Amino acid sequence: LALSLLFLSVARTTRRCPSSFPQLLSQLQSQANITGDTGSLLEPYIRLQNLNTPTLRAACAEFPVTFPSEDTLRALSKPRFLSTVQATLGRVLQQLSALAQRFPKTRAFPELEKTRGNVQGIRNNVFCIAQLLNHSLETPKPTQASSGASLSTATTPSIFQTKLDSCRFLWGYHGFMGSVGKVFQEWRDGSNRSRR
Amino acid sequence: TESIGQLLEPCGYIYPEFPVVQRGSNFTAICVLKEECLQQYYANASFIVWKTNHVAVPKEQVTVINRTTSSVTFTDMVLQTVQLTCNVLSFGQIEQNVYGTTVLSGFPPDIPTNLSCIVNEGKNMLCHWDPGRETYLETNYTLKSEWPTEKFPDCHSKHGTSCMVSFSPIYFVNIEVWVEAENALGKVSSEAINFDPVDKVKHIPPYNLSVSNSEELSSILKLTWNNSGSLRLKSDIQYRTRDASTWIQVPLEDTASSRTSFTIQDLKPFTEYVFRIRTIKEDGKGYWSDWSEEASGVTYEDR
Repeated sequence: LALSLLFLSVARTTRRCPSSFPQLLSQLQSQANITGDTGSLLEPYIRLQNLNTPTLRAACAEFPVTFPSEDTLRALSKPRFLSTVQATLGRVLQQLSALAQRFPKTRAFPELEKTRGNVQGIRNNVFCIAQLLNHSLETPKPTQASSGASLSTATTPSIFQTKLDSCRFLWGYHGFMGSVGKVFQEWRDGSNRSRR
Repeated sequence: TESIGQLLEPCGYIYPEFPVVQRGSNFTAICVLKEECLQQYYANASFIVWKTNHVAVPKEQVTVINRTTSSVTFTDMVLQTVQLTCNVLSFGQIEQNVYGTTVLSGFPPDIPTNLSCIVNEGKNMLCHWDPGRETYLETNYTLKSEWPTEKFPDCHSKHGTSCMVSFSPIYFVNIEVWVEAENALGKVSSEAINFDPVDKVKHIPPYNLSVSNSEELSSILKLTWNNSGSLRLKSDIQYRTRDASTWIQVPLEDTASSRTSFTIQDLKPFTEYVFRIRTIKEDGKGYWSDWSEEASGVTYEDR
């Protein structure tokens, strides 16, 4: 069953967020583990785009599209961290949509749709955890390295360059999700310590 | 009828036009003749004959309201479908049909109960519920699904007791699901259930189950298999000798942690055993998978 994830209106509804902070943290942790795993999107992309050689892999990792680094994320307050994650993933969704349009319809790439669903799910949980903590998710000013998830589009890149840019974006995305997972893990450790 | 060759304009109407009535309740309809038709029929409302399924309605149920209007009242409507016609005795004797309609009777939908969902791993999510009593009316059941930040496409149930959603459920995000039921007599909503789809999964059965014996120990056989997906799953292992019909259960506490191999002990030497395995999420949430394909092996000879 092709993953047909049709999100209708992005309407703020009155549906209940989980009321348990540990549960939300656990869910976010699991989501970060899934999305941080390059096997969930980058590796299939590399195979599908025939970038699976040491040289091309190195080129892909060479100038990763800049996402907020782990240190940058860790240094943020909780509200700023949540807002940064929410905003960055909003841009990730845009890039994934652009990638989906560029991707030939003839080639099945279910991981892309699955990733969009997971990213949407993370943004939902970030919304809920912010609500639980009474933080408002304002749109943060770009931090030093958090232009995040925007691909250089100065001139019309070649097809190969576009493939490489997308690869770098995905590389950056997985790295970002790994960092987010670590920060959430520290939140969990922190909340576990405070409960002792 | 007013004119020839064009669409035939009726000489009167029944109101309500498409009545849907709650079973066992009272129901009144009126038939209103057009003034211009009264001369044509040499008649008025007192010459109206009501019929249900082509049988005349007793006069006690009929009331002449004025020159053009007659009403008919039914108590305790029980028939699911009734053809109701308004006919007039023109010239006092020739019965002519003026208008006809169908009266449906049934019940408003009950509030759906016992809503639950199952995620068939890698495929879809199926939710089912108890719709309550039969309504005898066309009733639409719609499964609604939402996150706090997103609405998912409605799932329109074909037979009113279950629906398979068109989207793939996302793990680790609580979703709220409820059922709306609507027919001509009312609209109701079930209680919403709120769950993480990861806790409602029925996993793909374990696969590549293989059995190997041990030369050193003739009383053991070692099983290895693959679990589907990436979640931690616990197992349920059963075995029997080839010719036995009842399965022997490996204590569930022995296989309560996530694993892809297990050694069965205390077996008879040089005997063929058949094995099957099924899995569920390690914390016991969700549904047991179907049983794996069976695999067999023979214990080593005794020395």
